[in-house]
Amino acid sequence: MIIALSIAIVVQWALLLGLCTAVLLLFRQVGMLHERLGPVGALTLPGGVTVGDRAPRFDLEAVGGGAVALGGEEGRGRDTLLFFLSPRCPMCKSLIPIVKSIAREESSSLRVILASDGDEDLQRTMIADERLEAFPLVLSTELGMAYAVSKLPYAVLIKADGHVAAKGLVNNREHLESLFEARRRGVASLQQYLDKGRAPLKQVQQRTVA
Amino acid sequence: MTIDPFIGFAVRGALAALMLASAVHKLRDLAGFRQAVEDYRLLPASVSPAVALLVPLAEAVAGVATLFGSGSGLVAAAALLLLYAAAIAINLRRGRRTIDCGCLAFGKTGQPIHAGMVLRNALLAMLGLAVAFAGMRDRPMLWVDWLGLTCAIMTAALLYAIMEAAMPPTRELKR
Repeated sequence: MIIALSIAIVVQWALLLGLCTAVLLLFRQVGMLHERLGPVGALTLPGGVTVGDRAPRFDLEAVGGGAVALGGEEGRGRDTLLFFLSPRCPMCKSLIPIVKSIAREESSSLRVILASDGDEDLQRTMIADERLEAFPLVLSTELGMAYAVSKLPYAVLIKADGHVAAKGLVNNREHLESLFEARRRGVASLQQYLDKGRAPLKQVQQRTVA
Repeated sequence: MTIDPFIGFAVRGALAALMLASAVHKLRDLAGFRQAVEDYRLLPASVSPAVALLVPLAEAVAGVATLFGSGSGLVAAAALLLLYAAAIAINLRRGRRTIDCGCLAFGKTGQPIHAGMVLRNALLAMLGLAVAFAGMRDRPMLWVDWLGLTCAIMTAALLYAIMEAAMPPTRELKR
């Protein structure tokens, strides 16, 4: 009896110590994961129109007809989400449903404009395949150059008064929503958000606030 | 009132380990701890360096005294814990939530102070004082008691570390 109890106690202590060590390691891992993940936000690439600046004026014609005016005050006081995509970019396809759902949720305060360039037939196929008829699609190389769009999918949020609120490379819903969060908080990027009140650091790449 | 020696030794061992670990932690980064003492803004700046050196030494002495079974060592450890609790509580009441706690935080630097620390320190101090003033029952300690003691103290240390690690990630500290 005593031997059995003693053995049981020894084994239980060993198991308890092992369990505690495991839990500690687990929490360490969680902590490291937090650090590694860092903040989620759209990657703001350098160049192009700076956040806070006036969006350059563009008067373009949408594929399938209709005039699209970019820059300057929006007639109905809505914000503009300019979404750069391409028929050849698979990541853009995965973001289209998200863009659609955001457009639906914010339909009263947001107009969504798609921007692309290149072969018009491919664009028409994309519009048909992805059911993008509800959104004007403009084809303009100059527009992409003005915002220095080097990677896709890229999104720019322009305030109703014609100023750029946020921009960045968007790879998922969080990135896209971070643009709206950045507009709400009035900060261009996470770095700026953290550095508020401190001397701004020169950053090569910045992320919007998630 | 008497308590079982197992409980008494376990509390002594754990508190001694805590005191010694904190002392080592502070002495290894004395400059950082001096900064933390200044940040608490409780003492004139001129005495901060002296206090920053005295506190870890006091911890070490209290730890060693506790280890060698002295009741006064336990009282000293409890007093230090209550002192920290008071310092943290005062700064929390001032609304200064983002200062470095300067305490033993496993693997973390610059953990900000929070109300849980006040409670934790108060509870640990109560435990220490209870053991210090309670008599110990006399019974022979078996090998299984010693093994259990060692394991209990190690488990307590691990649990303390787990609690520290489970705290939310450190926010930006403001000076």
